[in-house]
Amino acid sequence: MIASGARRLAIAAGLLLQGAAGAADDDLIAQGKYLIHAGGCITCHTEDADDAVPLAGGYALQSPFGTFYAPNITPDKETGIGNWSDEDFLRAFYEGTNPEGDAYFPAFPYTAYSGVRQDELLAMKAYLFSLEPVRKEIPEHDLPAFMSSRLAARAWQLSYFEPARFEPDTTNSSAWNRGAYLVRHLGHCGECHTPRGTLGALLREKELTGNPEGADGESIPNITGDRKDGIGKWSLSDIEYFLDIGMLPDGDFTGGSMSDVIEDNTSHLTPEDRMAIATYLKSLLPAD
Amino acid sequence: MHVRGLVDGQEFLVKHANGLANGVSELQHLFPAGSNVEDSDALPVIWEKPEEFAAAIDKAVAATQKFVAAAESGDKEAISSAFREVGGSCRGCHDTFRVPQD
Repeated sequence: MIASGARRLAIAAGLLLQGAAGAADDDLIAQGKYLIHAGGCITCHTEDADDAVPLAGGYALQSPFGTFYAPNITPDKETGIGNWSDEDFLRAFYEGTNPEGDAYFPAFPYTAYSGVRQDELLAMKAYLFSLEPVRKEIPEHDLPAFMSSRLAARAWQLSYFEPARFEPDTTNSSAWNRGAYLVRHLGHCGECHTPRGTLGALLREKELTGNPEGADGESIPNITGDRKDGIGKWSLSDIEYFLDIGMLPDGDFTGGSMSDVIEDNTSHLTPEDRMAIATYLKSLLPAD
Repeated sequence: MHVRGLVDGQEFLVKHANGLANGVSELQHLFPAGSNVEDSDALPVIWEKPEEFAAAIDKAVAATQKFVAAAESGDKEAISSAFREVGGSCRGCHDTFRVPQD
């Protein structure tokens, strides 16, 4: 009697624990979903077609270096990342290599992502693995001959890739630090808004001053505090609201690639996170 | 400023919402066949896919009418979400039919 009572109790406790684990998983997945939005993953990893499944890849990124096709990052075991371990996932972000050890081209912005916290990356993986696997083959990148091998990506890494780490700046506010983390690392704003040198490395000294030769032939604006070319005249609230719904201070609405960024990324953030981004951007010295 | 709740003044909001809805309802007349002359931010796709363009404008017309109703109701939540929809319809059109601005 006692034994069976104890067993029942043990089973009940076990169920409770399972329930707790399930809730913890749900929290992790919800956190990962938020971070997938904040990381701008959907914008590139979703094909530009009305019926495209988010994150199943196929988007053609047309750059001055050729066309890159973003991979399928749903958990399909053959065409997606369904076989990836946590270590594989972290290595992609921190070392810029795939599970076979081949180097990624920096079209995948590991130069920025390498500063993202490990627990946040694993939450993102938990979310991706909670999705329905989608079987979708992605074309090979269409690149000039000298770049056609992964060795070219490795050579690029040796010259230009230094894994970033985010170190909070204690002389600034927590909002500034959160904004710096979102802008420089997770949100990787500089990938479009910072100009690039001949081999595609970002010119750090020109951070966020705009890129007249952006991907897909777009000219990308300066978002430093320059009053003429940048966003020096925008208030914090102007920036926050722009990132929410895409309206510029003059009442115009943005189009082009920033419209997708707002749709997939910044409109999903909390107002506090958008304000943090604004706080960081407003602190950048004017530069043209 | 009104839609962001930074400034009060519902009567202005109603007036401007109506102005916006009236302006948007004229859009369908602004790009007749043959009007794709040089030096314009209008992309050729406007005249190549007139049905898609008309559908995008219809969306903006519906969104601005909803915004007028929200402004008249004075409900802050409704105003904010209706304006978000207006913005979505503006971006939806600019995304496809206008030369990207820098």
